[in-house]
Amino acid sequence: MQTQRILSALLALVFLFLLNPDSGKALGENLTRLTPHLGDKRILHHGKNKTSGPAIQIDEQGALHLAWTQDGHDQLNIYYLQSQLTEDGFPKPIQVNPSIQFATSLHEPPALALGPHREVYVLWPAPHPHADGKPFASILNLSRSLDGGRTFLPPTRVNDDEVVTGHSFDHLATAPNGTIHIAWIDAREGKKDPATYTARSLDRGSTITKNLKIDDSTCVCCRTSVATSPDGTVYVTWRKIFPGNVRETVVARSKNGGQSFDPAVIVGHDQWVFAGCPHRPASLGADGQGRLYVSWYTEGPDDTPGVYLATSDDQGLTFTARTMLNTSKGTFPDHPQMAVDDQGRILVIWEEQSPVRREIVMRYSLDRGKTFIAPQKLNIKKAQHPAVAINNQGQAIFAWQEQIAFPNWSTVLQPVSFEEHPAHTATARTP
Amino acid sequence: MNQLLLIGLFWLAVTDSFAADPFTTLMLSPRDNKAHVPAIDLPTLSGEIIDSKDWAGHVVMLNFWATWCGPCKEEMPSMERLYRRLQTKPFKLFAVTADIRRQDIAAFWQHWDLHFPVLLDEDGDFAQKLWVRTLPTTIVIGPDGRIHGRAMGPRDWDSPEAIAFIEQLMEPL
Repeated sequence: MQTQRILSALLALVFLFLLNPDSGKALGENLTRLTPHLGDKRILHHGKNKTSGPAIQIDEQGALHLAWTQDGHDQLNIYYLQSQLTEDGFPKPIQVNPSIQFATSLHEPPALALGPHREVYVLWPAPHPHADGKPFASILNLSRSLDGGRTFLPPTRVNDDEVVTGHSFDHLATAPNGTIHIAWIDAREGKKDPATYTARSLDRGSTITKNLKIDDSTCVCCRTSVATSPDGTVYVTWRKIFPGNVRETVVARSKNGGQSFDPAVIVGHDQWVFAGCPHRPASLGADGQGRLYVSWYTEGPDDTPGVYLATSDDQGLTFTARTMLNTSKGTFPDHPQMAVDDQGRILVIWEEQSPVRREIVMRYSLDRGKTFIAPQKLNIKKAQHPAVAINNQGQAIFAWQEQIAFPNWSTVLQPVSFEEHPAHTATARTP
Repeated sequence: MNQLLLIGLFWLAVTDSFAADPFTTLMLSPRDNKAHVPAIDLPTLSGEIIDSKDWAGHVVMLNFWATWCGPCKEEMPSMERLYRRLQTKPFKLFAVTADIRRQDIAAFWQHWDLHFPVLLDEDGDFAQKLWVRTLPTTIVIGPDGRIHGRAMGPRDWDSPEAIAFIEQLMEPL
């Protein structure tokens, strides 16, 4: 009788263990059923033209939107194309910028966002019209397409000052109500360290609201990032300089649709002391339950590079302890980008570098960041500049630059499907 | 007598600070100290090919920067002064950039009135081989072809401490 009781208790424990979504085995089973299917890679060749990394989005109908900056020798132009996820070939790209206004640099792609009524928005810094050879002088332009990406209207200027200085390291996101939220780093006050600014457009990019400074002492080269959550909260992240040249990733939130922002909150308390240009933006996402996700690069007090994730369940007031996502030894991780869908499925993609290798790896979580699969390499040849986007229909896309035909760089796109399917071994394939 | 004593004390303090550990005074990272620098040949802005084999016997300073890097410009004037000051010595100074638009680099150089050569590391391979992660990063290579210091972030490169450090590296010659 005693033995029977013990056996019953053990069986019950085993049963509970199998049912518990937190247990490794149950989670493993779930992952097998929902393992994302990596689709065939699609390659966009740019020939000898030098380009920025890709900016991508995927809409709720499953179309991918791709934008990049390309060196046209005389000037830098911004291009855009739209394609179905698994379509053969690519349509001819559209030039976004007018010929008389061009982009400033290739070191980062234009910012790309989609509106709720098939609007396409592209944000890009252009050389300041009165720069007269002065470096670091730019204006910020918003280009918009109101016909589903077929044509782009002349750009709307975002910064509302005339100071011949930098207005760049920009990002944008659209709220569910269609409001466009823009953030950037702005040097208009002429201080040693610039400030973080925001602005909105309430009319699909026709006009821009008065610019709003939300903080000072912004680290000069780390791009801002903006996200909105389904409840309308607006989040902006950037790297802030604290006394002693400590660089911390911070998040500020707006509960009134971007009219004002609460004071910035430190995310990881990294204590990274550095007086230069990290040039590595953080990435933001929010799921349908309002959880905020932040992924970022830092080195910390011991100068060891790491890619981290932290989350907030109180709308950015406090954050969980950071979790390191990179696991490899002998390489250093770089440039993380993240996408999150309504269900809290998280895709993070980043570079892994050593003196002789430059790889693109990704990890994903299907349980709102509780667990992640092991990092999976996506590229074959030398690769850089990763990007990722996800919609709420179980579709996602990874993108990066890869030296497919040395010495030229191509843009590689790899669709991902979260639709349920039989167990599948996800393998990177070249066409 | 008191004056002489003060001068003596001052001189001791100054020479002591110059001879101080450069890893402290210049905040140099010792992480890859004495590591060999990989061989490279890169074009300059004017099209000349620079081969690292020609660096033997020289102190070489590599300054990794970019046109869009605000903090990089902070140290450029002091680098230019250092370049002019040590022009007749076994010393080479190169700015290394992954920027690809030569006209932008040339405009930057003209704006800041800089004259030391720029190496074009278009795919960033040289920076990658040297584990350069942030800008500006300056790597000082000794006459033995080994790294003798790495500075991450801007420095005052014509400060007495920096000049003493570089001249100290030249001493065995």
